[in-house]
Amino acid sequence: MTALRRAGAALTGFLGRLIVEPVRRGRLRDHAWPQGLRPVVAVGVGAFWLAVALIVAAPLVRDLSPLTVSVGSTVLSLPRTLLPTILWLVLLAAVLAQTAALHARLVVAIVLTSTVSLVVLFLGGLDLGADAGAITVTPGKVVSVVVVLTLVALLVARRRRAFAWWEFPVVLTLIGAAAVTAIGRSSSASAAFGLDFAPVATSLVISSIGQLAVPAAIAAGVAVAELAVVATVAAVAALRRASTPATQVAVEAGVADAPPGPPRTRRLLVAALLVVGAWRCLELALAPVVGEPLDADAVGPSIVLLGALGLLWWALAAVRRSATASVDDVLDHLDGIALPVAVALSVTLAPVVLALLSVQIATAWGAPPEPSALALAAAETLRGTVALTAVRLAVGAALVGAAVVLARRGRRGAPELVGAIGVVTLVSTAPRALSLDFGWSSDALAALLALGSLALTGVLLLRGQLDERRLALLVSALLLSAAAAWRDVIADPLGVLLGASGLALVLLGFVWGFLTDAEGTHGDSARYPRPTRVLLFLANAVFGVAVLAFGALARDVSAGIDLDAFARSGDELLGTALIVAAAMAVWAGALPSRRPRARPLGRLSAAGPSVEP
Amino acid sequence: MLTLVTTGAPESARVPEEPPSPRSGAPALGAGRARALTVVAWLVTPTLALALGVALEAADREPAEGLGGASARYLPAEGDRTTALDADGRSIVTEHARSTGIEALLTAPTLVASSLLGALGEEDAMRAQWWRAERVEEDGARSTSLHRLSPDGVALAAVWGGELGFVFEPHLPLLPAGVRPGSAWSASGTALPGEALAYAAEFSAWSPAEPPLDAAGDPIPLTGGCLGVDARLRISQPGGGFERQIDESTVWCPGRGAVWSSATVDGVAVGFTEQRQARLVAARAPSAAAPSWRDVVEQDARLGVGGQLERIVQDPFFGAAATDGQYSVRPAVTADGRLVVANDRGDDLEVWSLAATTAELDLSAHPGGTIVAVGSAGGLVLAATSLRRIVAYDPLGRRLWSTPTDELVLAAPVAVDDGSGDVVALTRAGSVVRIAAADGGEVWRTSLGGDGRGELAVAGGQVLASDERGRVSALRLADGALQWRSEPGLVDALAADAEAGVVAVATDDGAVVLLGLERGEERGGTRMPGIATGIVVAGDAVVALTDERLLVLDADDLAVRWSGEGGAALLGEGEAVAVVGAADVVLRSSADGAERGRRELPAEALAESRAAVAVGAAVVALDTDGGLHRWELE
Repeated sequence: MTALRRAGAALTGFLGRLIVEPVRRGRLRDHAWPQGLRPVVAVGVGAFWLAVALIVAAPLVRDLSPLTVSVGSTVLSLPRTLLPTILWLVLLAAVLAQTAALHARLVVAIVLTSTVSLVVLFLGGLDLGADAGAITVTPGKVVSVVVVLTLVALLVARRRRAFAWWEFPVVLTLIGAAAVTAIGRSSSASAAFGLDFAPVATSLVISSIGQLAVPAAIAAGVAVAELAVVATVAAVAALRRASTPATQVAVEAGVADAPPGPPRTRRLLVAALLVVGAWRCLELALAPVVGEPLDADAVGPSIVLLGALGLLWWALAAVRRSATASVDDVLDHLDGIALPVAVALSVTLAPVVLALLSVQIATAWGAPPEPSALALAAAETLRGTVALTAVRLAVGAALVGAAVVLARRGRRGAPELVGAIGVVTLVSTAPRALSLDFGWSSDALAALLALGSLALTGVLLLRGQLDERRLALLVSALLLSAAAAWRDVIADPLGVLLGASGLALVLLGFVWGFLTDAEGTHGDSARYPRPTRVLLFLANAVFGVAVLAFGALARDVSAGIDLDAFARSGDELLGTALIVAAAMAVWAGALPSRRPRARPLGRLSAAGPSVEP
Repeated sequence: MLTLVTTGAPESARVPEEPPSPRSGAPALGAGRARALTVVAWLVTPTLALALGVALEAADREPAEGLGGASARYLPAEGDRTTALDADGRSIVTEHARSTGIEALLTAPTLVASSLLGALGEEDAMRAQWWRAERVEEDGARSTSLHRLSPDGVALAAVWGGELGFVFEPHLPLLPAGVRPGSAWSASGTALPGEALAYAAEFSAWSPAEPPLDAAGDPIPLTGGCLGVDARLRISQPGGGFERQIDESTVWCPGRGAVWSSATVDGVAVGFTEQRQARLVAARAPSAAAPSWRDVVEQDARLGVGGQLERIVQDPFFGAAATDGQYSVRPAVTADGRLVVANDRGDDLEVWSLAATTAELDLSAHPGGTIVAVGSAGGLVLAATSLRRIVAYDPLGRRLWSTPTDELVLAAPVAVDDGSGDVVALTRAGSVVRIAAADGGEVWRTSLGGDGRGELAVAGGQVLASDERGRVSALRLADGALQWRSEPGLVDALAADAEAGVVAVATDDGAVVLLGLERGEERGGTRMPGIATGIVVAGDAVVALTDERLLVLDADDLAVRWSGEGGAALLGEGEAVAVVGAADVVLRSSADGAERGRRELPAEALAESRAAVAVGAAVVALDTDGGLHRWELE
């Protein structure tokens, strides 16, 4: 194999590992879908990509459309012509969710149906009648009540039956009828007074229920870290592939014994280690010179964070009584862990949405104001700093506990990742709760990871243990240290295109999640039949991207709900945990071991196998 | 043994295939029926989804089209400016506003508004469509005429702002809906509430055969089918006394309004002609307010007495009336110490003169669309609007120019400090544009490469602007060339000072970062809790405010000098800063935080948000719910 071919193969391998393989594993795939599900999926997928197109083309769309602007403490500007499209996307997500609810386990069905019913009643309440000052029973309100009752009846009738193709059209017709009746009547009544109803209605809908997209945004925030870790692993694998002769391919395939590695592989890895090491050293040394000095106050907290994670790593291995996890073990569990953790971190927002919707429905129906005031006060409390801090502390502690339990059961990868998220959450939240100025930073963490990796290199070199596998691991560790500081650049090209890095971060996460996180839809069970899984996945994806499209069209990602802030929070907590967990896995693999490793083969041993030579 | 696997395990190894649940799908059907159902599903499902989109589009009604019949076509559009020269060659600038509902009545003196509302009834008033023409003469004299557009045509409802005011009941029919050459009509009624004045009018329409001449003797183009109207209007006091006779010939042209008028008022010749392509010369810029904030705080000034101001609108004829309303955008201050705000609907620009206990409306203007930011630069008062335009007014409130921008301008345009009087503005699309003060022409435009964010600052011959990619860019004031770029994060507040040589930014993740003004190097920074509400460079200190904490740093060594409670708004320069909080306003020394006075805000003044500006040597705080407070520095 020529050098050029090897390089080509390495590049193909890199891209395959980085993009093709995750998409192949995690995309939405027709696994014996029942009749009629494909058209629904086609509608959902079409809606998702339409919303993505709106986001990408938002500046152009605004250029071509008149803007409707409302002023106040913030300015909200939206292209007038696309407001019905945003409502359509939101309604479609509600229809997908309600259709999924028909066959989901009872508690999920009740939660989903309650939420969708509140949304329908809220829409009905927009029809205030000709005299907005008086409380009257209007056609919009009546239709919404009838629709809700029908949805409940449909749920009861269809719960124990199999998915049927006509369920989605029926739910769509019901919810659509309620929405069109209320919006049509309100909009004609407002137009006579010179008022434009659609901007008010759309922003009210998004601000009331947009918070339901927060878990998806938090989970989306981890995408850049995931891509950075996978890219690191894939890059080192590609490097080794570039220097691997054809005979080694047979070894890789497991059909031949491994001869000693060729000298050029080792030379290439040494060169890579020197280059990456020099880069990291130079960056650290030059930071103060180029005007970006390391925040000295963040070093101490970062050491504490890293120390706590190291301790956790050791403790989990001790509890499990076997070898530590590899990078692959950690990555394999990310998709299954990110969304549930995101839901847990934002658990208080669901009742907030329900409270906001209930208050608005009660007001529209003329209920006394006192209960509404109480509900609003409760909602304010739930989304306040104190509640958020309490939830984070509780979730952090619970995750650490869950990590220990999982490790006791012999699980590998999941305990490390769950525990790392827990520790990062606790170390990030506890000082704020105590009003202590004790904040770690990604830059300081990256510097410590780099210094740790260089120190480990020195130790192994002095002990004469710097073999090819460890060389690969140390290159990976140094690249991961760079990823800790520079992972944002992954979203930068998209940021350049969209003109806003926050928007790019969330969009990248949503699209990457849509392409790679559908693994759960491939399964099937009585509690969660496959159609339910597929529809829930689509509902979550379409709703998240619809809320983001609203922000993009407003040219303000925080319009309605600040998804960017939640995505950054996801990056900070989950993304950092992932990178540090990956670095710990690599360090653990590079350290000399006293006993044989438990696992004979590491699937993703690009960064270094889990096998001692 | 060394094992290397890069392509991953087989797919089947990773995706555990669970046995299908009986609830996953319908039982198997015959092949033919299954095919038919598949076709039906593919037809019905996407069609219904698309139908929902179409239905939502159809249900979405925008506000009704304008009334007034064929005669409405003669009126200028919403937000237009027309200019004319009167018989003495003096310019008249008129702005045109269209609206529906009672908001047009709220701009009128109380007596006029209540009279019109009483005559129409609440239901009709809510649906009524209006055309308001605000006229400013060269000497600053102002008058407003309010016309109703109805299926009957265009009728004059009221006139105010001048030495005489009228409220016509029934409205004076200027242009009936089906008016055409040869039409004749008449009307009579009262011209003031309580039948204090009566009117009688006769009209006839004609077709102008020859173009009338403008002030320069050039023919006024009669495009689109213009219409001449002769009118005789007699206004008199029942029982004798006041009497006025107006005889007027007017030419109306589609979309341009009245382009020519020749009239006599009680035998005295008046009239005007359209001034096309007018380039107005701004009235002389007012002198700066004295004493200034800096003058006073350097003399150890303390926060004096003050409180909520009563807002008053004076009308020469109808008298004074108290008013209220909310403030929709951050205020600005003119060079001579007047307060610039947008009204609560965001469609009118207002300039208020502030006294110890009252604020009096000096002028109002209607730039068109919704105002999203107001500013002041030299003698100009500026409004950025939802129509993606920056509109400039001179100190008399005459619209000088209106320049388009590529996106909304969300922050106040800022004056260039090189004596040119030019302004710079940052658009949401990330363009920084320098605009010539004289005519609104674009001097230069530079793209930041990301959406614009927050406010601009001008210092040391540079424009400092931040973007949504977390960067701060410094552009050379002369030509817009990029001088340096730094990446402190998403900026919520930005300030720059040439004397201290620093740019201070507060970011949305709680960081306060100091950059060198000359090279943009990061000099360091700190973190603070809460949401940034302001940052200023006061003397050699950097003062940052969040809703939770006030932090004062030394601009040289970044040492924390002192800290305090957070607040809603921050202002100041030199030796003292003022923090407006939820319940009070506090003036503190920049150097050591020593309190120079604390005044409580009234308990009812708990606004959703609050802004503060220094008006001369006074602290002025505005609540979004309408409170206007002022405290003098003594």
